[in-house]
Amino acid sequence: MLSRLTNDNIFSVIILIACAAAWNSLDRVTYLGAFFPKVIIVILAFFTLIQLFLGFRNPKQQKILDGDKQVYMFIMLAGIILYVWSMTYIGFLLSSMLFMAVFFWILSDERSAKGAVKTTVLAILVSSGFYTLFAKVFLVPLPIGIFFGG
Amino acid sequence: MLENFVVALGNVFEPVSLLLMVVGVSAGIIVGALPGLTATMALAILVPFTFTMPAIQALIVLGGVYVGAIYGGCIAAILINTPGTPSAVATTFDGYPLTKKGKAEHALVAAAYSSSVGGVIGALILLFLSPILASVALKFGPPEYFWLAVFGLTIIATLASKSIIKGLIGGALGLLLGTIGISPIGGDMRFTFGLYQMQAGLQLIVAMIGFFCIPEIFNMVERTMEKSEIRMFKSQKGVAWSVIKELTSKPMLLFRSAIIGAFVGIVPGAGGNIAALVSYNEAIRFSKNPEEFGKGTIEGVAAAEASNNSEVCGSLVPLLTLGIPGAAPAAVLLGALMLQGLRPGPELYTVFGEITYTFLFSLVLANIALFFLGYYGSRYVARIINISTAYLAPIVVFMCVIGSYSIRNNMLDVYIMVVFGVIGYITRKLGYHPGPIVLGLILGTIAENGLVQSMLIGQAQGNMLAMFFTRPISMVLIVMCLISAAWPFISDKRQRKIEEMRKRLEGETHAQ
Repeated sequence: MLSRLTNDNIFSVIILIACAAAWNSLDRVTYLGAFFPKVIIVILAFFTLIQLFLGFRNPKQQKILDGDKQVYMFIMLAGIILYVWSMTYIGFLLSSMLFMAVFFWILSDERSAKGAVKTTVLAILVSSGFYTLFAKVFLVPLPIGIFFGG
Repeated sequence: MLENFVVALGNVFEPVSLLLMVVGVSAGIIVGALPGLTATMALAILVPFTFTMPAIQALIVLGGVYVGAIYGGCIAAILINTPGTPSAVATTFDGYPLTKKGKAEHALVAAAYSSSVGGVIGALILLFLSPILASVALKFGPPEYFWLAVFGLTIIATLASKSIIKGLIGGALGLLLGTIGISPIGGDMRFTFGLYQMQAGLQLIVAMIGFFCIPEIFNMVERTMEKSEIRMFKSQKGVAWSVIKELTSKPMLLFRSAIIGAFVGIVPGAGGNIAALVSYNEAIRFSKNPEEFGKGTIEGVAAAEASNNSEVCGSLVPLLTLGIPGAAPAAVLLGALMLQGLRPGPELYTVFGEITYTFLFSLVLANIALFFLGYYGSRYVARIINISTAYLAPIVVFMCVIGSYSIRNNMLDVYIMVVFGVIGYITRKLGYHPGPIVLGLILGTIAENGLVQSMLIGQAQGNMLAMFFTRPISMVLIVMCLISAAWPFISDKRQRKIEEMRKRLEGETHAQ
């Protein structure tokens, strides 16, 4: 039974749960508003059940995580989440500078003090360049951060 | 129409327009040349730069980026055997062998020239075919739009995924995501989780940045340790002219490839890679020296490149006339059109004729500019391929964040982009291509409006089924839906039969 618990089958079960939740949330919606989403939910559940049946009959483990290579991916994902979260507090410019400086350094081959200075300067130049373009030329009100009165 | 033509010609030759076109094509070539950055990504991350521009200028830039990015993919394909974009897969077959023979410049000139010729033919097809198709679209009512959306989905779901079921699940997921927000008929709130920012639904560009760019960044980071061997080249006198002369002596090669590209592009879901592969295959069939293909022949590079650049304009035919993108980058352009307040369909050629025709003429010019920028720029762009992932990946993340934020100045869009990015990465690993999901998202609104409006009209007329199944254009679309849904099974069966026959023949030969 455990051998049939593949990532594919788990994903199919997640979709089915999402279908049930979506169907349930349409209770308070009028007939016309709910008709199309309900049709789609039925179709989605139908195809997912077929996929689940196929997955159980012929279980194949599709790897999502694949050893050492994924370390950088996870670091990047954590970095993106932290970057986006910190933007609300320290503003777009500072968070972008920090994100870029850290990741230029993490991903580069040259992890020396000289390399750190080089990547920091590059991060400051790139982020302030784009910040100026978007904030001053395109007039996009980028987040200034709660800590800076935003 | 003639009036629009004249005004558009005037617009496109304005210095600002020409400058923006050159900037767009150049930016596209650079992004397209970087392995891992696709044309879809190029457009998605460059769309935010065009928000504040007038519609004409924004479309000129984005058209240039699209054209340039598809061509740019060939530079990495030729020099390092890694297609810069998926469309350049077939270019590696002969492009890289030419580089290994020390004929990189021959390959690059052939690619620039054939991309340019193919692109111009494709743009002319778009210019003259799309207004006709748009006038046909005038006859479309709600049921026709519903069936059209279904047709788009059947093709996408079956073409864009190795597993038909997974393609269909992806399409349905996209359709469901498309229902987030206020319902078009009735005005109900659906799946908004109480967030007022969600009432307007999901932003197409945000979803596309999430689904197409973030997973690519993760893949790029995963491959960070892998290094490519960059082969530089020196320009030689007379090479360009000799290659152009050789290709000009084979007009049918370029013409056939361009026609194949344009028509493959018109079919929703069949992108530049399919166009290039089909065209490459046909070039082998028609060639007097088929044995030369794969060993480094200019014909191979020309067939692939003429076709994938012609596909660019082909993919815009269903987009501009019916609102159904022919390929993923065209889907981003749809988002850009909507941001500019333009809705695909007949109105684009009448009410907004000046903007549309200027855009179409700019595509013709962009493809001409492509030759010069591509040929003279490729030696410099070749150096850009050397940019390390260490710098590229964080900069692309930064562009994705700024891009998704600046559409509505809304942090929720950035969160949604990240969530979709993670979902896109996981689903890709599980074999779900993002194409059907995004297409479902686009076609969802068309399908829902068509379905619910048809139901209401049908109810009022007292025969709902007749509304869906008796109108002539609907019937044609239903037949097309059935054929396209059945096609993968038929083609799979045929393929298996051919395989069996081949194995049997091999067995008989061994026995003898």
